[in-house]
Amino acid sequence: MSKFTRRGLIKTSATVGAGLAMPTFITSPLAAYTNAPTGGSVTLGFNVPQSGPYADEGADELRAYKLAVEHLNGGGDGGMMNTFSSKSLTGNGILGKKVEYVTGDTQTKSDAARASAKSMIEKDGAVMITGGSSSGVAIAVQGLCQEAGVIFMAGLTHSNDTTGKDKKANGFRHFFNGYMSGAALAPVLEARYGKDRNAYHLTADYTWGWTQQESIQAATEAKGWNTVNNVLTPLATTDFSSYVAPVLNSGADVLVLNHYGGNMINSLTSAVQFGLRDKMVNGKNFEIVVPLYSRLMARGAGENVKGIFGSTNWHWSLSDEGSKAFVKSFGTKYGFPPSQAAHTTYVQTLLYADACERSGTFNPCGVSEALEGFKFDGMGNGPTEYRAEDHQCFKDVLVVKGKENPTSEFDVLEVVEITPRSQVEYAVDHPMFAGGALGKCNPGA
Amino acid sequence: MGILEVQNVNKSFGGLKALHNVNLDIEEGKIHAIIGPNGAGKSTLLNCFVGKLTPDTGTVMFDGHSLLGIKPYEINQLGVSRVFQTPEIFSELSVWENTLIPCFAKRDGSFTLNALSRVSDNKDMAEKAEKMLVDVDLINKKDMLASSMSRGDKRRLEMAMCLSQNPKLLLLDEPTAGMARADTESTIELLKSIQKKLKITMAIIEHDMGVVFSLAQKISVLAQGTVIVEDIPENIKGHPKVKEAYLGEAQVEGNMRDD
Amino acid sequence: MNTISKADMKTLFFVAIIALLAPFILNPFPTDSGLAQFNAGYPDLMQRFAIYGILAIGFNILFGLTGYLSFGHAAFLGVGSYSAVWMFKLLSMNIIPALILSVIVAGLFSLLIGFISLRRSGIYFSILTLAFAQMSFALAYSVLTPLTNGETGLQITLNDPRILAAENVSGNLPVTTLFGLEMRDTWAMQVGAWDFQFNIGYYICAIFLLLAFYLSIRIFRSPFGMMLRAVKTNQNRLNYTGINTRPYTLAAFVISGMYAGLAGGLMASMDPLAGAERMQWTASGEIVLMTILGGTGTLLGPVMGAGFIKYFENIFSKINDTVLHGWFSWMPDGLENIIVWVLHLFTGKGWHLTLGIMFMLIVIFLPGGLMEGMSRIGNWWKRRKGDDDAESKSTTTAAE
Ligand SMILES: Nc1ncnc2c1ncn2[C@@H]1O[C@H](COP(=O)(O)OP(=O)(O)O)[C@@H](O)[C@H]1O
Ligand SMILES: [Mg+2]
Repeated sequence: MSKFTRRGLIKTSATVGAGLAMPTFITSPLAAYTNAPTGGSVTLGFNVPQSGPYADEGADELRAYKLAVEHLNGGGDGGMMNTFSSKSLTGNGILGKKVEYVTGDTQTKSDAARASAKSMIEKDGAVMITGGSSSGVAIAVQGLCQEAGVIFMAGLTHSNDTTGKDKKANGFRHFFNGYMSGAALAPVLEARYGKDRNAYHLTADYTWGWTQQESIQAATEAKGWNTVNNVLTPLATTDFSSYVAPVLNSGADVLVLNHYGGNMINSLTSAVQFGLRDKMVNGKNFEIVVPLYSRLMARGAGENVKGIFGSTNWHWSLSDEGSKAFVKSFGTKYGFPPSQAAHTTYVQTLLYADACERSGTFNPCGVSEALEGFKFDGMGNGPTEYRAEDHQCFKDVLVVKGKENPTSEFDVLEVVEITPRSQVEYAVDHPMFAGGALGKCNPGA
Repeated sequence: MGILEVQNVNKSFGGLKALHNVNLDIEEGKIHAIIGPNGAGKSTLLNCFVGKLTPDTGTVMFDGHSLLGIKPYEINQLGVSRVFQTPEIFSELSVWENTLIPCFAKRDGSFTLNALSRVSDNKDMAEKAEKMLVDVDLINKKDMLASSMSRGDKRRLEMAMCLSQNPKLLLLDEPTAGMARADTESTIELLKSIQKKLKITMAIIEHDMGVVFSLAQKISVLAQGTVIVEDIPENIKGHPKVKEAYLGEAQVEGNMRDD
Repeated sequence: MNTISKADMKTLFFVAIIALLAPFILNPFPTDSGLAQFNAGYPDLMQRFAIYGILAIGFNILFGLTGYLSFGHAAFLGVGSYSAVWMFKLLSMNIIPALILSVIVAGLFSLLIGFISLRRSGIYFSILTLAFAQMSFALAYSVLTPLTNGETGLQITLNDPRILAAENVSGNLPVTTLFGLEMRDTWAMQVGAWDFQFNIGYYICAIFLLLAFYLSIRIFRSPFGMMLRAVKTNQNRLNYTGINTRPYTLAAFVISGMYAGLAGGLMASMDPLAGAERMQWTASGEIVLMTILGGTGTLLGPVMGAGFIKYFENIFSKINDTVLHGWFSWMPDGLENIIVWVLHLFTGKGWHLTLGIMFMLIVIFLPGGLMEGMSRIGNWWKRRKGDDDAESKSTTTAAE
């Protein structure tokens, strides 16, 4: 199963094992790329957080991956394979090979995530690594995959850096990013809250928080807002009261929470407990904004999210054919609707499989070529393009709001606006994305 | 002029005056005994010599150096070794290592990063340690764990550790306490022969008057923190002040064990 | 060549043989069998065995010999990693300058922390080291982000200066090397159903492990080592024997800090990334567990403890429900589900529980750690063999 060979590989010679009482042995074939599948199956590596602040997202990603594998192998109802504009997937695995998978726990720590990805590549012979719910981890694992010569299909990662200064030729991101959130949110916020606003940012202290904060600040300031303060909070924080307390006396009338997952649930709850939402500041109602929203978070924060604006990559209430097909097969299997984390990871798996089919190989360079500039539809986001220059998907962005009258525990967000792709698009050399280089695709061996 | 000069030393513990204007002069090459009833302040006095305690007032001069305000290891490097009332040994190390450590400390000083030579390659140290263990009759037990020895053996080991450093001044706090009669005899012989051979100055606290009178060339009697008499052994026997000090305990002529 | 005794030479030789044959020893199960899950002979894990072995050997010089329990050794590991990655970014991808800097920086850092922490002993010393390590972690995590790249971790990029390296024309990230030998090069050998991997990086780590082990033997047997053990048993007596214990403990602290720095540097050499969580207190605690589990104060114990824990972390954590169902699919469904449910507690995410139980059992029944277990087995074997010998002797005499 695992034939891990690499550039500079020395071929096994018969003399090595000659002294050992072992059965016959075959010299390892000089493969063209890392972990080229030889048998009747191909192994994918699903590297998701199973512990730590993003464990909920990780669990949902894993559900989506299992569903995707089932569909690729011809099981279930086929899900979005039926609505996908590309028709090369037939339910016969990938390139005729049955899809198998291994899983690992990123613990939302770069070290652990890389160790886990490494063992999937080295021990289990994974030919592609995917998953994750933190940009820090995505960037770390993307770097590893680039070195090892396997494809990395990013999971939920929203930092500009993933396809900005830390972009890699072997890495691909379907999810949207901080810049897009800013570009989509700012006009809506301007329309609802006016031009004359003072914003206070609480920001998760790592690559995602930094770049999202930078993006939101730039986009809102362009609409006339003023930024009062930006305070960085460690990812491991659970009690945000000491961060929320100073907000009231700062003169700010908007609190922007650049937090995700458990962080956001805790900071929002804390802000609501401090009564921020009932306050009048500068003659205006005090508002809270959560630029990156997810249903899992909204559910965790409960009542507190009502009326709060944010953006999201995808929401299960969308009524296009792709979304409906996905929600149906996910719901049938698990009994509840999928999250945006589940959606993006499911789509990434299908996109990867499709690229393999279209290029006729698992070779990362072939797959990469097939993905670059690939235009598709029917995957829940409308027409989408994988931009060749930075491996970022460009598509419409959803602006959402915490629902005032939820009908179920899953029905917590409502789509306020679908911001068209043209409004969130940016140049490859945009300053917020500059400073890195894609490099060349690395097939490994 | 003695090798150790103690002048006007006072030491209190809270309200308790453990030492009161103590003056003491220990002559080089002599064995000087310090006796006195329990709680008289004998151990406290020795503690002031080795840096374990600092006197409230007074001076302690050894061989031209003040012993006050310097660290125990510095005092030892000046040539003062001490056997404690309860044996202080490296109980989790072997008898052999216990004996080697002071030898190395003597040769290499208070710190040397001697991390690459093998202990067993230091032949001079091994010879010294072996000789010392033969002298105290522990050579057969050299591979034993120090903690597994009898109390008497531990005392002799500690004595060997101190003697192996060739100290200029050896302080012994009740060296024979807890020893069998025969061991006490051999310890006396050992100390005598050492004194004869090496001319090591010794200050010895002892309860066993037999030991005191057979060893000491000079005796100081301590009572309630004060030196009441200092004289040669012959004059101490039957001295009225000494009798008074021990009143209610045993006779000075007798065996004044109080434990 | 009589720098170490015959017995020690034997131990060293034993470790060398194990290290050399590790790719075989750790891959006992055919690749396609269900038991392949338990194979540990892949480069990443083998490298970790060696690297954590070095770390534990160094830690043992401090804890095993002097008894000073540091809860902050992960900080030195982290500092070593950051230093190494910076060398890869600034100088070249050669691991030698990186390792040299790792050891030096970790040494200086431990000198500073040791100097302050060693003013206290016992639990206060432990708390001080813990506090320093947590401080270093917090600094690395946020304040020193320009140096450490915060939560994402410090990585190499195409744009790094690397002043000694030839210009990169491949467009790919460069890889760590030892004068041209790439750390990631792996030579795969298939023998029937088995698959063995010989990785350059692993063997480099193994060589450093042997050097580290050899140096530790020398230190254990030296007058310096003897003084350190004396510190552990009676610091008072040592003081009254003319030894200034502070520089001894500080030297031990710095030496073990440098070992940790080397381990951190090697970790970055195998995978050029340094993350702040490497410095977290849990990582420091893991080092303590390794040492105690293997046998505190023994030469070989810490290496075994390190291997034991890393094996659990990497192998048991990978056994998920799917794998379990695969194993027990031959059982009737109900029974299968019950068994999987029970085992689920101990595998996958539950590996901590398994490790905790093992740790408890070992500490209770084998206070001397795995080494005590080994020597008990050894003694039992000898006794049994002794009986056999006696028997065979008596029979031969009878025959004569
Ligand atoms: N560290 C100490 N703290 C308080 N009191 C002490 C201390 N050391 C000795 N003492 C007291 O000082 C007096 C003298 O004790 P010590 O010198 O041990 O007597 P001895 O002559 O029997 O050796 C005793 O009353 C003892 O209780
Ligand atoms: Mg006393």
